[in-house]
Amino acid sequence: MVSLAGIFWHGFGQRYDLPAPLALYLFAAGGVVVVSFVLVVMFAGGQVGPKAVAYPRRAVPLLTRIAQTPWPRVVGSLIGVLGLAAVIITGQFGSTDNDRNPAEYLTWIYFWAATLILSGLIGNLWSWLNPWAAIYDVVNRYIRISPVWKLPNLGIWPAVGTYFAFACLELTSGMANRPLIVAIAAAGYTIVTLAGMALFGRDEWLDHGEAFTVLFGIIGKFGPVEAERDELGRITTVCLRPWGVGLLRSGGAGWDRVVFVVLMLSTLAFDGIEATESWQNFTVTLEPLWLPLGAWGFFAIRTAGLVLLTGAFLLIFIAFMELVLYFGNRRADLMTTATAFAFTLVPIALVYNAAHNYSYVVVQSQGLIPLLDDPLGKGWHLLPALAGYKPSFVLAQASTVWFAQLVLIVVGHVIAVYLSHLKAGETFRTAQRALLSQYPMLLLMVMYTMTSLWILAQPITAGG
Amino acid sequence: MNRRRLAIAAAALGLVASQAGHLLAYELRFGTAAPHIQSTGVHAYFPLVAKTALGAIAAALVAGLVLVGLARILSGRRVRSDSEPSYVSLLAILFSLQLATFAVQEIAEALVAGASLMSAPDLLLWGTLGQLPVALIAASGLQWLSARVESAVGLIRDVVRAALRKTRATTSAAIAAHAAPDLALLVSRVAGSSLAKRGPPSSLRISSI
Repeated sequence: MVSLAGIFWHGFGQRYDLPAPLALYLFAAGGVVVVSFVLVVMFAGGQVGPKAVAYPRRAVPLLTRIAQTPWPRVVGSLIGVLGLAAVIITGQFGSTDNDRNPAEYLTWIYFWAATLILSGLIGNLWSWLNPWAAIYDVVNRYIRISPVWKLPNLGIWPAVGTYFAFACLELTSGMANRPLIVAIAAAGYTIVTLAGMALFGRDEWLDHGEAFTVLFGIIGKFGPVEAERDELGRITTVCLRPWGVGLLRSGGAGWDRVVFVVLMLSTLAFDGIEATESWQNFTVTLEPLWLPLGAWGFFAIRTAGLVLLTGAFLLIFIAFMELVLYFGNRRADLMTTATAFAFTLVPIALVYNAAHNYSYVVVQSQGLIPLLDDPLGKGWHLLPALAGYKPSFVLAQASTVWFAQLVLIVVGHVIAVYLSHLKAGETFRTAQRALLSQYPMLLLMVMYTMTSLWILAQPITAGG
Repeated sequence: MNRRRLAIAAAALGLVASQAGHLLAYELRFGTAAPHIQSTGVHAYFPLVAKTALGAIAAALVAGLVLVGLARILSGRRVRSDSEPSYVSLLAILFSLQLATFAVQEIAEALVAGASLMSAPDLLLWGTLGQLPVALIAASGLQWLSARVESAVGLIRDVVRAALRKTRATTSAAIAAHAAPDLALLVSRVAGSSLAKRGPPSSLRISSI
């Protein structure tokens, strides 16, 4: 994405002259979050205990019947496997020019940006699309595979590691714009994942070691579609629920989960920060430290920046959790509390992702259409009608992008404030304590709203 | 150390340690020009503040070490509390405080100088780079000291109290050692002889009535 950014950058180099100073937008957005906090307190602040996180659900028989047929899984698996194969084949044998190679579009736009956003809007699509699970299931049907070893009790730390590695490929390696590297990474990850499932068991590995299953599992909790399963994993009921409330059922507690969620936020923030002048100055100033490392230097400074930012985010979050516990007047376990509240940050990560990748999804994604005529860049004419397709920029005017980002960021933070308040109701004994505990969270949300908007504003706005 | 004292200690340490982080951030950012930048213009106050802060940290550290050492010498055993604060929590609190102090300081300096404010990423990147290493060390130090200083103070107090009790006991024992025979002597003399000799005539005693 870094390299695609180099070609298009968010907003295609257009700059939108803000009609009012940027600071005004930032304070207004922060103000909206504060007002939403007041409204949440007034209208949703009375419940404590398990009642606080109870939410309405409605079973949808039609969706249940569809989900119980094998077709969604078959269709999803086909799309997933074909997508993976396309990435590996076109990346390996296609054009070396990243904007002429489908592997780049499929990986960074269709998979990484669009599928993530759709999973937030709908539900966990990855459970149907996952190509590695599909390959394993097909092989397992003919050759019975039994796990060789038991996966050590590492929580989701292996998934944290693979997610961090993926983030490094995307953001710090400087090689995300090389289709061949993307193809090799996809093939390598395929081998690792299949081996993991074969050695440790399908679900064991997917639930603990496969970064995308964990990621989409978390993002899917935001979506309105909820599937109930029996002990064999078969879908029994499909329900609809309000957006976001699924995150109130965060499951087990652990620092691994906290770090994973923080990594979701910090990688997105780092992607934004890399586009700012501040980052350029930072790297130039520190040249004496990384330049002697040669080719690895740029990778090292970027990775160090990502680690630094993740560390800062994590420590600030923990400090705020200490404040939440202090104001909530409860000697609760820090790890449990941090896990519970970390999941309330997921809407922020999701909307930030949507805002950050807005122009990729609505415009650059169209770049794949003409490539279908000649996916490997061999001079083929498979679909001549598509060869001359020109992307539409209707939804990508800089002003549209800016206001879409503004709305998305504010909405995400408002949802996070709401979820956090409900979670506080569950965690603390009285409504008053729950309210007090949320003042630090409010401060955190307002700070994060303003900072993330400022970062997003840099590439597309001017003046103001 | 109880939570309140620990919170006060962490807040104080966070404030003073942020000045060390400020020094480090500027050193990394401006290299050899850092000392000049940090001592002129709007930063003219900084050398005094930094020296005072570092001096305060050093003094607190030395005082803590002296207390722990003294407690160990007096008690003849290792000084350690049963419970010690979480390193991660201390690190998080110290780092956040230091970063916030750094941000406030930079914004205030820019406002006073009439210069443009540092951007949020600038504050975050340079602030983290400067403050995080200091916070790592400060959290280690605070955790080590907080697990020992209070125990050390308790041990020293116990030793001093025991010594005082011993001294008192010795004093009172010494008094008792002389006083008891005297009293016995007095009683025996009074009861045995003196009163018999100097009391009223036996004919006036009640028992004899």
